[in-house]
Amino acid sequence: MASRLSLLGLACAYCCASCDPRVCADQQARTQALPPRLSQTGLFADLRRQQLEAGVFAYAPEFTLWSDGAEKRRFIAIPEGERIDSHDPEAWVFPEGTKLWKEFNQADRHLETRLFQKTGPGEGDWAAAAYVWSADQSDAELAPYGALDVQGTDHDVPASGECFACHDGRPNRILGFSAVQLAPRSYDAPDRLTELAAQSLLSEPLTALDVPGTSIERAALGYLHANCSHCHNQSDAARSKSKCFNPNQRLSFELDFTLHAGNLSTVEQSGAYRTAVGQVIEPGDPSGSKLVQLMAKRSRGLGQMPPLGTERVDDQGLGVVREWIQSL
Amino acid sequence: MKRGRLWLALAAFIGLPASARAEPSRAKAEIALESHAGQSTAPYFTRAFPSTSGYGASVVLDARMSVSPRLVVGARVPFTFMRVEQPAGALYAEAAWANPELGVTLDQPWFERQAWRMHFATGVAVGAPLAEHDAAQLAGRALRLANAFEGFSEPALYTPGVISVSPSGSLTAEQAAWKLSAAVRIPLLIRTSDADLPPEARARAFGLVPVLGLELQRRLLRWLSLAAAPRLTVLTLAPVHEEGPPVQFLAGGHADARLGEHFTLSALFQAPLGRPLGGSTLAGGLRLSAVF
Repeated sequence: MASRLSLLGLACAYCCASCDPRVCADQQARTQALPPRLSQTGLFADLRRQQLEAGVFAYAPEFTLWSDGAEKRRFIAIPEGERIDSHDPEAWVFPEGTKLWKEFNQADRHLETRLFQKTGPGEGDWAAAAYVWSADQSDAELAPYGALDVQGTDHDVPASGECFACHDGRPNRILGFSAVQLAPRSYDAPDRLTELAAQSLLSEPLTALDVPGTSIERAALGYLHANCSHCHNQSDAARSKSKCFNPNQRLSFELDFTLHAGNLSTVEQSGAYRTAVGQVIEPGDPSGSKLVQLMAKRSRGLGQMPPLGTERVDDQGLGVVREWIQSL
Repeated sequence: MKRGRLWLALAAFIGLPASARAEPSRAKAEIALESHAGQSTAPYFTRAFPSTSGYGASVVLDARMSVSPRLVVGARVPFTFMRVEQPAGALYAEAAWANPELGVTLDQPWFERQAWRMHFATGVAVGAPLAEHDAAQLAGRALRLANAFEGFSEPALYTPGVISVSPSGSLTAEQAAWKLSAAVRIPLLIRTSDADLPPEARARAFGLVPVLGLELQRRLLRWLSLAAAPRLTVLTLAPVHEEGPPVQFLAGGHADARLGEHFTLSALFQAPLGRPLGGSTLAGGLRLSAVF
């Protein structure tokens, strides 16, 4: 009996650990296809001069992910002769060989550049990892297991498996390059959708997707879409059976135009309003809303939202969400 | 004459090796399974990972056999399974073998009068360099957490890439329901490989990590006893250069329940106090032993 008790105790400890939704698979094997240095990935023709390779172009999503204030630049390269299947405006299908880079900078120093590369025809056929820049900024090295506090800053570089913790929440694995994110929202914003169509990089022409509501409502819905919807959506992608930050509740913060035949015309139709108001959003009471309480905390793990990749509260984003909830 | 015996005993205590943990076993054989579970954030050695965090458990299979009334041979085989925290906050599961150890202990009665009994033990253990390691430092970080649960007092078990020779000595006094032990173990860690550590980790060719332990045990009932068992580990010459304080103090204790003639179940408690682990590490465990 005593031996059974001891084994039972150990088993419980192990089972509880297995139930931890923060446990993710080590995806280091998926980085085998990636070159060891950033200079070999095809981003720069001249890395020192930051001159982009032909066929690589920069873009900026309308609604950005909070990364503790790091300055970011984003780039994409579609293989020559290929096009993005844009039939589903919320889930573009990218051709094999597509590469997306995201560069993180602080005080004019490059800290890391993340690469997502399509390695096969399937939706989930992506390799992803970060490259950590050297102190002399001459190049960046592949870091499949990430790094803490790079170049003496408090910036942490994620391990490859952590990339997929967020990106696996979407069927096509790409979060910031979509019809919602590239449509121009102001008169002076670049119209990447039109540019993509002009270069025959989209399989179907797209009309701009308008986010409904006042400026505060659009800002709040866009913020929640960019920062929360890769986990909190009803697409359920590849993660219906895996743990790895897969949330149990049925919240959706995505701007789900497809659900409304491409026309999300009212705020009340949005996923955030339909699924979160009355659950984690208390109308008129931002401080009493669980959403705001979690966004305002930083404690590692699931006691904060987002749970990954941030150690500082986004005061500006939090303020936008609070203002919207106050107006409900 | 008494002063001479005292100096002789002190010299033996300092100079001769003994097992810092072993008690003289009157049984023929003892086998135990000891598990420690906990959570820790501990300093680590690499530029990419100046610290490591996570939770999990280590398990040690501990077997001893008396080959004569005073001589005991023993082996310890450790294993860990941890959830190691990654930079963005996710956890990777990592299971890793640590270094197995073989040892001998010689028990020497010293003093026995009326209710008092004192004895000292000397011994030596040798550890094999079988602990896992990898370039990603996942196994290394998991083993580091296991050692952190013990206040860094088990470097022979949890340091990859070293052979260890651990002489030890202990002095025990027993009287009625009380038992007081003082022990010292001095693992010498001889590096056999770089354990995939990068150059900036400053691994030493030789490490020396003395561990001083005290144990005060009180038998409350015939079948139940409680003990306080603090430990002090000296880190000045650790196998990998460590920044920070030169010592780590571990507050510990255990409650032992005898279950019949052969079995004892112990609940263990360990909490490092003071830097580098104090406030960031807590562990507990169970030990089930059987004597025959």
